Amino acid sequence: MFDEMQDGDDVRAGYGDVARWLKSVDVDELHRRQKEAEAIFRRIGITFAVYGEGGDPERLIPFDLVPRVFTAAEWDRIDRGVKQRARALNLFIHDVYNKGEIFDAGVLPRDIVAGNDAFLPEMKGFTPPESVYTHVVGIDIVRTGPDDFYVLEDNCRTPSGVSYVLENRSIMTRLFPELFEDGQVRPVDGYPDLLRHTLVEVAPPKCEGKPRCVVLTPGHYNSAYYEHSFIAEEMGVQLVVGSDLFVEDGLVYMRTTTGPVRVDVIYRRIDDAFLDPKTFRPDSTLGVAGLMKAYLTGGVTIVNAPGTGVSDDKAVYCYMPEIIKFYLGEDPVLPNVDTYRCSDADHLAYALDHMDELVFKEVHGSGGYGMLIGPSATKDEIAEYRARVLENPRDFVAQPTLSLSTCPTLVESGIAPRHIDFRPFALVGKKIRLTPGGLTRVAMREGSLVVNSSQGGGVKDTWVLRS
Amino acid sequence: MMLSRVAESLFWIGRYIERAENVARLADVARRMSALPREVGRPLSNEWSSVLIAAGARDVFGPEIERADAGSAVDHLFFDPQNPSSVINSVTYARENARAMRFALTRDCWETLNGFWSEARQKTPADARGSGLPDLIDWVKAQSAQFRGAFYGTMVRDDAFAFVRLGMAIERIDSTARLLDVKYHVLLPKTEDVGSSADHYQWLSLLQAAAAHRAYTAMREADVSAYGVAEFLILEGRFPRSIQFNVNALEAAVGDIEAYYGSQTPCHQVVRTFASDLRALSVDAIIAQGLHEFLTEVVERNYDLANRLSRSYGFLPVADDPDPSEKAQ
Repeated sequence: MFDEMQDGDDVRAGYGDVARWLKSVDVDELHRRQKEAEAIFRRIGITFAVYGEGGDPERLIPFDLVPRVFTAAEWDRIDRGVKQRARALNLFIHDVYNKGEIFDAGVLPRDIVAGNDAFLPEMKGFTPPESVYTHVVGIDIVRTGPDDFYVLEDNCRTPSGVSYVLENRSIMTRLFPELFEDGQVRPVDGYPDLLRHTLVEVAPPKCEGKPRCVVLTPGHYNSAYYEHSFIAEEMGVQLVVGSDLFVEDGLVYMRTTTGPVRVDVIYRRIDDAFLDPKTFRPDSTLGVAGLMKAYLTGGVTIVNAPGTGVSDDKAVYCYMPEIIKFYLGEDPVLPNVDTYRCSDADHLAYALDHMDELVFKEVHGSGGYGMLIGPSATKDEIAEYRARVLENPRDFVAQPTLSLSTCPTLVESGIAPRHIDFRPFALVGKKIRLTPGGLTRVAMREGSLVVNSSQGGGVKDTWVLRS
Repeated sequence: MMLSRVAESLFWIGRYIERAENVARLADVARRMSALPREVGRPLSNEWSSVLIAAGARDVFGPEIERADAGSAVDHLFFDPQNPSSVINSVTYARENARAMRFALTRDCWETLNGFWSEARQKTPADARGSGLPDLIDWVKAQSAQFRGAFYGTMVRDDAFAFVRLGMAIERIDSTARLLDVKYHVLLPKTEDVGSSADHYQWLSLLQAAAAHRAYTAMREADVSAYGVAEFLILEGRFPRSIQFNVNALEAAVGDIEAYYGSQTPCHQVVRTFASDLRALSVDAIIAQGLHEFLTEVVERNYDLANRLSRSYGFLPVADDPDPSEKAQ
């Protein structure tokens, strides 16, 4: 098992300050600070809304005080790997909706996207500004050894979590200013500016003058609402809901106290299906009637583009090394995790023979739901899951159970190792930008590998060091 | 320029915060009146049912409203989830509106409101029993004052500020009118009551609940009388809970919006007429018209004004315009 900080009795590069700090500070004091942090999160309203499950509808994501650290060299590789992936994903999505060269070349089976619910025929033949489809990309990365980083998942639709990146840093600098005194930790608060630059760069053809950008939220009952409002505020743009917008003559306007005001770029945080009741779900009250038509005729830019979901299910994920090679002629900087496609007879046979060792995932699933973690599952759970896989093998993939790295974490009894993963956010406009940092998620339960916030995972501040 | 929905939320935050405080003040009137000595042999007047009637609860309670007691009235006024104007609901709605446009208010305003709400969530009817009631009333008043402090102390004087102020003033006009009207419901005027001690103390309680007692005695240097209290709470332009003061505040707020946007809407004139009509009135004219009738008219006029504001600034949902290019197809 790889620990991010400890190499036996030695402290790894980058963790010197953290290790000295943990040695010098009293655990009770850390617990007090932890409570302080939670009180601040609660007061500011940085909560995760969970409605319809009973209990407190506004919950805190557990925040852990011990940061996760990347050295400059480690970050350099992540930076290159993530940007490479973002580039390849955008080229792939463009190809899927246009010529389909990768299918003609036989690199990917055509039905991999044709049978995908996220494929939107409306997008066929359309190229958005700068040919960018997924402008905000969240790449989930895990680590198993000193040089062993793997991409676990690509999130090309509306990846969330970036508000925690900024708020976690803000709370750390408030509670422990001394940790930042030597100026070694690279700042993350440039993200909102970079996002605004990205949005402006992809303004639609019909935009006149300075592009006006907005953030479109499903509303304040959405679990990520705080993030939507935070991002809008940090960028200095309006936070709108669907009913604030309307389409007239192929252009989008928002309703204001001084009359209609034109909108050029919509950073939407609602799903494709709800974007436009005229094109997609007619019962959607979250979207804007006529939005897709305005989009496809160059009246507005939707960020991320509709239909980007074709590239982030686990069936496409398996082919990412081939996709990178095909479009960029490069080898992946960050490798995939070996993945068995249950649609393939040989893979399926192997996977079913090794259910107690593998992790099974639904091809279209996300958020840690619908998974089977073989090594910790009971016989009954495995039998039940096997039946599900056999019924519809195409819907499942299996991967070896990775021994995710651990990071020191404050728990009841003191500081103890807990498993973590990492999600950096790449921004794609005229160029690709990556804020030095990201969201480190931590499984708060001992031994647990599930870091999703919907499953009780917590978050940490993530440091990228200058040198 | 701001989103109409945001302006509407700001307007309603102003209303809900005032409403929470005003409902608490209404309860305070009943609490004070019910502590007054009663004359032997006279039927008890029911202060709690009067307050419920003034709060517009007749529909909810039905005929039972005549038999309301402190327990059922306080439950309704503070806690009843079915009562859209209960203190807890008002605070929850104010906070929900703030959350829905989280950054149109300053952080100080938001944190005060969020704190108000998280404390409100912990309150139960048991907290309002016996001596708990005055504490609960004080808590609401203190929280509302804290929000106002954050609001006046930290908000930029722009359109957002003006929309909250409009909401506050509209709500206060409504509430002061209803507060005064409680007296009408408590005791239909009987000649033998006029100037009697019960009558005197009821007017006094009313002044106290409106935080107007000291202002009244200092400014009027006179005994508490029906005539004096009505004149003071309706027409005294220097007293911040009077109807005149708040109609003036409306006039100032729409003036600020006009200056800010460089244009006015039809409701500007309506507000100005409301204010000048009131300034031209004397208390004699009000009494001649009938206090209850006058107050009813104020409540209706105020309601109409709120609707006009909503229309002028696009608060009300606009029917979706069909896409003209599609209509042609």
